[in-house]
Amino acid sequence: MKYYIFTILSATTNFRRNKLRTFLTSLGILIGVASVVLLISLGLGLKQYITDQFKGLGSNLIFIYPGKFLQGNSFRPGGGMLGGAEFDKSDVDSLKKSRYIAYVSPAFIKTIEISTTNKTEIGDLLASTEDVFPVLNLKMQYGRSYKKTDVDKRNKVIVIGPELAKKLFDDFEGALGEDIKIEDQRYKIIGISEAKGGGGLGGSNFDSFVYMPYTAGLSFNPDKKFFALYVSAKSEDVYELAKRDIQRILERRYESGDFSVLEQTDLLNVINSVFGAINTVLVMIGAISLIVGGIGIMNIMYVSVVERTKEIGIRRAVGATRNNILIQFLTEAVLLSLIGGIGGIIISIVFVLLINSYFPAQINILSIIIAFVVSTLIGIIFGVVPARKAANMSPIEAIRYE
Amino acid sequence: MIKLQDVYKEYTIGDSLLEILQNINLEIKKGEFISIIGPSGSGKSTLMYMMGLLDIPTKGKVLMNDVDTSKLSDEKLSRLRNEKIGFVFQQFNLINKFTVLENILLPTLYNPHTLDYDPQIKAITLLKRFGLDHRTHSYPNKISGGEQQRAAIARALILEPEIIFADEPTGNLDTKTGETILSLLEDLNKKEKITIVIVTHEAHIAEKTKRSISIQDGKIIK
Ligand SMILES: Nc1ncnc2c1ncn2[C@@H]1O[C@H](COP(=O)(O)OP(=O)(O)O)[C@@H](O)[C@H]1O
Ligand SMILES: [Mg+2]
Repeated sequence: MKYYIFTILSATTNFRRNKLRTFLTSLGILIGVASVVLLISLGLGLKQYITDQFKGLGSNLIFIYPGKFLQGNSFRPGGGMLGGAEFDKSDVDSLKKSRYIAYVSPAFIKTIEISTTNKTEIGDLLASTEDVFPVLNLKMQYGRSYKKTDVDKRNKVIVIGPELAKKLFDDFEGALGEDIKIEDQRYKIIGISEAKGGGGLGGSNFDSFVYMPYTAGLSFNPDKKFFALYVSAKSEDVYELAKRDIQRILERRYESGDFSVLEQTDLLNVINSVFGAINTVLVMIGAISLIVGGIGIMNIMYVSVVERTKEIGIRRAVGATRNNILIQFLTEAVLLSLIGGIGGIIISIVFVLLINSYFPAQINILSIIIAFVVSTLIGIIFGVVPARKAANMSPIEAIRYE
Repeated sequence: MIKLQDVYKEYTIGDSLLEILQNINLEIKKGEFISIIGPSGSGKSTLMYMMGLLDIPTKGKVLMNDVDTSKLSDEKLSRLRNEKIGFVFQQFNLINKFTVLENILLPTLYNPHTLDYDPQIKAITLLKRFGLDHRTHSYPNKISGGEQQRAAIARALILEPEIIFADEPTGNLDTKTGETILSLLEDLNKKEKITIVIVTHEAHIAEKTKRSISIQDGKIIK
């Protein structure tokens, strides 16, 4: 025990005598660890954020998108963007005839400018039918949601998310009944939805949406085409039957490759495989910087071994074994790497805390533990060759060294 | 205590064979105070390292307390150096980044046994005895040569060795300081019965020992 404590103290003595060198050497590991921990934190935070958004949705949901999204169980990049079916109201009507389906909400989404008499904000428009509220599990905080009659009569009424309401109006309740301008058309605010939470990723969360009957927004969408259809099955028991019905109904009109019928878990799989790919790239970038850092450590350890040849000779003369010398230099390499690793962890924690209010970053305990273990391993892997050189030095040649 | 039988040490440099030591036979008995004398380059240090188990002969045997050391592992040889042998060098060979006290305690770091005395107290006692108490926490490069050599002797003594090898211990010191170092070694031999081997090229130093071995061109001549 005393031996190990003294070996560590002896290593720190060397670091104190060469502060700049120690700092520069551990910098490579520091940057590698910080970038990996940080990027993983950002990636995980983003993934958690998106997953949470899905969890806020209604139950028994089925998503219908144009194009082929999945291949087997994995994501086909760009699949959804390449043409495919263009849904319209007749699809909504035929799907609603299925006895397993409770609601069908078509979705037309567009980024828009919204103005009050003295303010203009950017928001996301979600044009749909009255089914959008049960499908998205969206409750009203103030006022009411729009009804079937609003859709049928093309009433220019809208529901806005609380975050958008906050930006546009100082007085929340006062927003109700106000007129608002969206791209030269006037709409009356009839409801403000309840907050669904989540971070602030620009405008793409439900709290800053504008919900509008699709019939009232034809000037933005003259073709009455929808980007997606969100369907709610009547119960969990008929979920699979509902999916089969959707497939059957849509195949009457479209090729089976032109649309995708997805479950929530399918979408989570898509998200997972996208983040899986991103994470692989991040880990590779991190691995490269860690290897570069490790080579830096190996380099400095070689210099250190040569500089301390005499010291090695003296230690051998007073009874140090080859193993003692090996452990001494290995300890030093590992500590050097750990200094970088711990520094990298601290920097990424500080950074995550700083950006946390703007971006849903999350510190992950596992990534910290891994960073710790990896720094230790880097120290051992890149320290062992110089340490062996030190251990295998002939004692007399070391002691004669000037 | 230490016996050398037909010991040779050779180095091959390029094509040529350098015979540094040839046919060395000698025995050092327990409690002896002995010198090895010879001109510079005659192989004295090489011989001393061989007896001190820091180096191994090309041919021949080195026996310590009747054990053939050529069969021992690095672990065992290191243990013997640690527990039974002390070295004193011409260049003092203290580690400058450690204090005098830390240098003296260095051998205890590599000793796996629990000692029947506290090495810390032993070190303090040695420092007092050698008049170094005021240098306990000094760094070696900040004290005089004589003080460094006394610290080196204290380091050699910390694990109570059976034998001390001193390679030109006065070589870097003025005559007067050299004298005190020599009498210190003499004292250790007399009072503590530690075997002392002094390597030197100066006749007046060799004269102070009870027995002297002369070496020239790698051979014992007397
Ligand atoms: N590693 C080595 N390779 C070749 N020659 C060596 C080596 N070590 C010592 N020598 C030579 O051995 C001879 C004896 O050296 P040494 O034992 O140091 O002599 P001394 O201590 O009597 O001055 C010298 O000529 C020296 O150059
Ligand atoms: Mg010599």
